[in-house]
Amino acid sequence: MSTETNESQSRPASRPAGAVVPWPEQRRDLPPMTGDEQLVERTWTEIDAWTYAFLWHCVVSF
Amino acid sequence: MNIDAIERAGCADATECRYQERLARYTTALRNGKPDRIPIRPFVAEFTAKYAGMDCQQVTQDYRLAFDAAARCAADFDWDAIVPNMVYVWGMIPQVLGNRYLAVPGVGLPRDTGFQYCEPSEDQAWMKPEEYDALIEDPTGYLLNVWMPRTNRYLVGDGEPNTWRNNVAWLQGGMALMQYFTAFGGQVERLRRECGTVSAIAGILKSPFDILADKFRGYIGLTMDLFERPDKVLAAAEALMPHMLHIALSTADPNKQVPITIWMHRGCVPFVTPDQFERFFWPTLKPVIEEIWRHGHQTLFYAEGQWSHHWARFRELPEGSIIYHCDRDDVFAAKRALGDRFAISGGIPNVLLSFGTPQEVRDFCKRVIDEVAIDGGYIMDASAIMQNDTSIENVRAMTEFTREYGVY
Repeated sequence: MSTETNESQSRPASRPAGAVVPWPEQRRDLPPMTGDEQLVERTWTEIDAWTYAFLWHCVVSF
Repeated sequence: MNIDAIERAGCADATECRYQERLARYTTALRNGKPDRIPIRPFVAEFTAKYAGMDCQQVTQDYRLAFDAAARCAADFDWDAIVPNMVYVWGMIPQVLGNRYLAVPGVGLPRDTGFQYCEPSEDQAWMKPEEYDALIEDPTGYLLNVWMPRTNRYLVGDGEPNTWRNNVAWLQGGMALMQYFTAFGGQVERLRRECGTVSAIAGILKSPFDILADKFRGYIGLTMDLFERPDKVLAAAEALMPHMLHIALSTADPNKQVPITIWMHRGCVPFVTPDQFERFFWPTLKPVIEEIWRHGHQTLFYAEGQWSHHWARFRELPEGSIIYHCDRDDVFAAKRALGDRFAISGGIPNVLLSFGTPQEVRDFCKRVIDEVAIDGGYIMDASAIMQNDTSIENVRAMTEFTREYGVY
């Protein structure tokens, strides 16, 4: 997040239900994979799911 | 239950045996079958505080006190299942974000009044009419960049100078939600271990149409949009469908025993016209219910208000895929219209439970047991969630009478 202004991070048409920053987008932002990519993908997807849950439960549950 | 019976049942102890009996009773009725007796599953919310000697502020502000109050009720009443915390809004979540629409007891509300949702006027709606395209194009991005900052005063929106409070609020909000949701697992296990009580529901669903009305455009704004920009409303509801489905499935019971609940608000006649229900509400909800069923989960229709005008549409759903909970509908008519396909729950009027006599409660329960529960497929409950105006004596009468008379 910017420290000066809060700028929109729009990712139309590439953000499926359950994801805020989908793995393919995060993958592009990482250095070359030298280890187990599936392990990184799984753990990234799990934590991203919590972010998604936070946003959508603010709408649906609270 | 004696030691021999426990061993025959294969349970670790008497409480676990009671849990297994209750689970079988409840799930049999959910699937429109006839169990050994009528399961009792009251949706007790602020009632739990009243019974446990607390007030609404305590059970809203500290979910651990709410868990204690629910467990106390579960231990003292002979109920088959309850919701682990029906006072579901933990007050800290709106407070750390600076939420603008939730009022919490003891913080702006009298401390013994249940939390309130404050819907803004039409011109102050949380989503502006010209923002439909942004919501349709990227619902999650719209939430993150526009809706969250607009509904929470500590969060800053697109292009605004960032603040220390903005950063802290996002952090505290996420931490609070994780803490709260993670704690539910322990509460479910506590109810099972301490009281042998089943956790009644798992998973939350709202209809896309209701979400648009409740949280984005407001009821008046949305009803105007139905005339002024109907295509945008339909496209927005369709864009929300995969997200409603994902939230429902991601919070559902992994064992597929207890249902996901849909809390139905203002999608029925007379809030909308019959044509609007047919064009907007039902086509964007029915496929979600069917997909949930394909995943092996039932959906409990918490049909708040009166939905009898739409019962013919509900009959289109696969047999057994829903449980129909009666609020202001005539529970006897609901049984006749839907009972061959779906289980029925509720229908004991809250007014009766709050202001009637115990004998009047017993008389009404007898009629429901005789006419609605006669062949199974019924779960005893009040019409709507029970708040702190509900009489403890009357809830006891409903419970004890059902236990005595509701045996098959």
